[in-house]
This record gives sequence, structure tokens and C-alpha cells, in this order.
Amino acid sequence: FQMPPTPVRKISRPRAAIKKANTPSSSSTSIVTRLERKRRHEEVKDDYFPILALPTELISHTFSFLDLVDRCRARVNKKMNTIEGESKYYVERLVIKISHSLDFIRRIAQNVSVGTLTIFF
Amino acid sequence: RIYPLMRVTLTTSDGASVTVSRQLTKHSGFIEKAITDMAVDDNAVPLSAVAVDVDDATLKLVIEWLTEHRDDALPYPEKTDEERRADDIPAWDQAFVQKWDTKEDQQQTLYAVITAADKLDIKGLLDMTCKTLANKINGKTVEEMREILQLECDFTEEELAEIRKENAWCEN
Repeated sequence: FQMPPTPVRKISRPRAAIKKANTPSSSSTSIVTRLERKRRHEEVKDDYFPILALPTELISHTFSFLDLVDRCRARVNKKMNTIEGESKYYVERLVIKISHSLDFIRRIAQNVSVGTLTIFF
Repeated sequence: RIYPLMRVTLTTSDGASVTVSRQLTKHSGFIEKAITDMAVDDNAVPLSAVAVDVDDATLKLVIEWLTEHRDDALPYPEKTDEERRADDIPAWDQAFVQKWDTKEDQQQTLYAVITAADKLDIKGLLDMTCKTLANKINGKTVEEMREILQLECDFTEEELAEIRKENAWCEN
């Protein structure tokens, strides 16, 4: 009878450990990589909200609680822009001044349903 | 039919287990369905075990919230075609979330609780935590939002110009 060989203990890799702790799902890997890169040069907050790691419907759900203004601004990158564009919202009351650009009105028409619409000429 | 004396043992993703009353778990669509799927007679089986894909630390927070909200009306009132707002979080819930402010990983904690509320299908907790997240970026500039969420601007010049044009109305 022979004892099985003792398994070689793996040397712990702190970077991998940090990455794991900060990565709730694989989809946020690129953000984490960026963070690590940034960390070498400057002080970066370790604790941030990995919004793109959330399922799309939860990002949409969060968007639905934002004001129209903030929701438009929250299109901070391609993914967020796509998700915002694909979500449907309801706005109780919308006042449009005709001086607003057509680009804005086109944007609103895409995915916002409005309770009361007032247009100023 | 809910038997208030019935208790449910939840086993967490990291191997812990906690037993809670059915009065709490009835607010979780996931746990309720799991119990229903077992097709057991609630009277005959006073204790059910349900495995949840949530870690122990997060489940403790979820249970703390459920305990406070045990008497909430069921089913949870779903709002359709009604303007949603993020500034109507009840005082207890606000204090509950603010307690994490002192934690080093407060954002990760919020992420964990949102994900848990989604997995366990606890609509009230999901709404409240998503509102909390919305409040973090509400009223912020685009640059501040990028900073808070640690997201890089990956638009092309053309796309950026398009967005600026669309957003022109809200930037003055």
C-alpha cells in the first residue's frame, strides 16, 4: 500500500483573490481589469457599484426610478445607452416647449409613454 | 393557506443555515414556490428546507428587512403605468441602508442585496434597493455618474455628438 502523493499546495495569488472579491459576475471583468490598471497609477475607490454586472432588467428597473433628465444623462457608455433605449417608461406629465430640439422629441417618442402632454408654441 | 407556525430552514450558498418563520418567507416568491413545489401538506410537515443561492451575510440582511416588513400587504402592489419615483423610501428602510455607509464594501453590499432580492423574488426589497441605487446617480452630471459607477466612456465621436444633441435640453 502506498500513500497517494501529497498534492502540491498552490501559491496563493493575491491579485486573483482581489479580482474574485470584486467580481460578482464575469461580465464586470473588463471594469475590474481597468480598475487594477488604474490602481497602479492613482488612488481609486475599491468599492464601487458594478452596475453592468446586474441583469439587464434590473438596470432597466433602476432606470425606471430616475427622472427623465437623469435617465438621459445615465447613458454614460454604449451598454448603458442600449439598455436605456430598450427600456419602456411612463411619465405622468410632460411639457414640451417647441424650442426643444427634434432630437429630444424623437428620443422621448422611442420609449416613453406620457400621461398628459402639453406643448408650448 | 399560510400556517404561521410553520418554519422554513434556508441553507445558504456558503453552507450556513437559518430557520425562519413562514410569516417572513411568504414575501419571497422564490421560497414560496419552492415550498409549493414540494407539494407537501403544511400540517404534516412543520419544517421545510429550501436552498437559496445567497451567501450567509447577505441573507442575514434580507431576513432583517423581511422581519421589519413581515406585516406588509400581499401580494406586493405592482405599479404599472404609473410614474415611479425614488424619493419615497420609508424611514426604516433608509436607516437600514445607511447603516452600510460605514462598511468598506457598502456598494458591494448593496449589489449583493439587490441580487439576492432578485433571486428570492422579494419585490418590495428589490424596489427599495434599486431606488437606493437610483438615488446614488440622481441629480449627478454625466462625469460624476461615470466616476460613481466606474464606467468608461466608449462612444465614438459621432455617437457622443448624437447623445449631446439629444441631451441638450437637460443640460441647461
